[in-house]
Amino acid sequence: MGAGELAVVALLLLALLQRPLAGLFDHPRLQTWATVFVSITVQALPFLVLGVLVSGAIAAWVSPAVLTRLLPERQAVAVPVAGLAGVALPGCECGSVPVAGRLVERGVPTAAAVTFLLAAPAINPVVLVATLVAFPGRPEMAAARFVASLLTAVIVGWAWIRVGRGDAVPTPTRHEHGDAGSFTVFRTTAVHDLLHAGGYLVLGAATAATLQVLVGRDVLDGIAGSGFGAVLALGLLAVVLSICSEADAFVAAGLQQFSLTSRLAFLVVGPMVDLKLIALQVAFFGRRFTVRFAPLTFAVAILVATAVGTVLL
Amino acid sequence: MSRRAEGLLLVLVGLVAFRLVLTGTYDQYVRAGMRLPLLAASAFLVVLGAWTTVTEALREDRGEASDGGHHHGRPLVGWFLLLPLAVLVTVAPAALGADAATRQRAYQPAIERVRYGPLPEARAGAVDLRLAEFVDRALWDAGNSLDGTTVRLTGFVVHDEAVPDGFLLTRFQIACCAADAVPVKVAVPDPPSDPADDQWVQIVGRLVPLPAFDEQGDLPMVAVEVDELVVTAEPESPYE
Repeated sequence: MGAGELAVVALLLLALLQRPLAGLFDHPRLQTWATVFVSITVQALPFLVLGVLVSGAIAAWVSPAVLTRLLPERQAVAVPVAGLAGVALPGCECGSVPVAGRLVERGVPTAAAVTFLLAAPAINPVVLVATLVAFPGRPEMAAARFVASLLTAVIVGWAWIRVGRGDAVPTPTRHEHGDAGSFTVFRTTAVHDLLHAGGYLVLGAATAATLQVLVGRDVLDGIAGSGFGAVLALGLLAVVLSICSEADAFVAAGLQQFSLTSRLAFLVVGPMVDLKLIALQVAFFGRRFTVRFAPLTFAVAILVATAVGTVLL
Repeated sequence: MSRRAEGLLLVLVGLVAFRLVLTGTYDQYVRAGMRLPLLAASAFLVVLGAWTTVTEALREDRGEASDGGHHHGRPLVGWFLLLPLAVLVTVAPAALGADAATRQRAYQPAIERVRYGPLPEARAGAVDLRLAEFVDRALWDAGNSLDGTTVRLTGFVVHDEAVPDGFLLTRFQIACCAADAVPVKVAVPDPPSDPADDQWVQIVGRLVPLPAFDEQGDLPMVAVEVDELVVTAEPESPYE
């Protein structure tokens, strides 16, 4: 069956099933699930598009030679440089995964690319301004977020020089473009990355919405407001909630029963490890990569946030 | 997935996103400021998808294989994009309501006691205030600007055991999308009528004076004494 027919059949099915399907969602809890699920995907769409614009452009017009010249040759130096470069991608985490994936494909060392991946959604100006606004009178919160996020990204990057050694270039999505024109390369890369990232994003959003609905934020009521337990609890909450990095500061501001350090952990973990990000990372770097990368990042983020919070907050 | 189908899928995603903006329903899911980014994204998706479909269809007509000629490794996972489209088209989920509000801690403003600016001009004998600003001023305004002031507030009804004979006037505040929504709640202990859960209402009334409270501890529930309650339609933008 061709594509056109498939699309027509899908639409017909939808039209026929509209009533029974809509009936399924009469229960208020399912309505809430549907709203949260759709919201996460709608919110992510523009950022995903921005991300694939950049990733398509990298594939089409940035030669590996240019990137190699831009980055310091020694990986240990390239990692912090890549982390700081994250300042330049305004947006949240959904866009940075495809970009990092293409950077690796273009010959950027994986360790440097993952540092960029972790740093970009947390330390760009849009997110830092949002953090300043969410914590009025406490500019040290935004400062602590910047320091802790950059530190975490760089430490994970350095660790990855060792951990990731011997990995095959982890993009299962390599294209041999041959002598296709650069606009064709841009188009095919953008389409591929959109579908790939989009599909996984939908899975991540569905999981996040399910957990939000099942768990609810009131589970936190039983947890002590300070100490390492609170740090760990809010770190895990960030993974489950999968909130966009431009919005998480406002949620953190509302979690007043918790210490500032534990809320810092929420802000550091969220843009680096959450359910939709894990799904996206599987898409672009593979499962073998993600099962090592996500737990390592989580652990480093928790420790760094605790240390930075103790010093700065 | 053939490349032609991929193009069609992207056109479909773009069109549904475009419809969300056109019908104004996008603001049940994301903040109003996302209008332009969503429009731009949907335009890009439609153009990219149409470009792909036409190019690949022409190529097939000429009997050529797609670029590179390989079909393996095409992202089948992309079909999951149909899932949110299906939910949007069939269920068209409403903005968050009483169910979500009951399950979440209420908004607690993170500020210190300061002197707030003057209230906006009264209209027809009452000052229009966002629910969150009402709560902020009630708890933290050193100038006590709400004392004796008649205000007009809009929200939906949530019944809760905290207010046995009344309800919580509620409205969600969002920063980006409904996933980060936080409910703002004001108690209406003694309403003239008692609409059902999720019903939008506009009330005119005054702040019930708050007891002294510990600023570091649990904040007291802000309550309002109602003169007038009108059932209304959902406002254009359901979130604050």
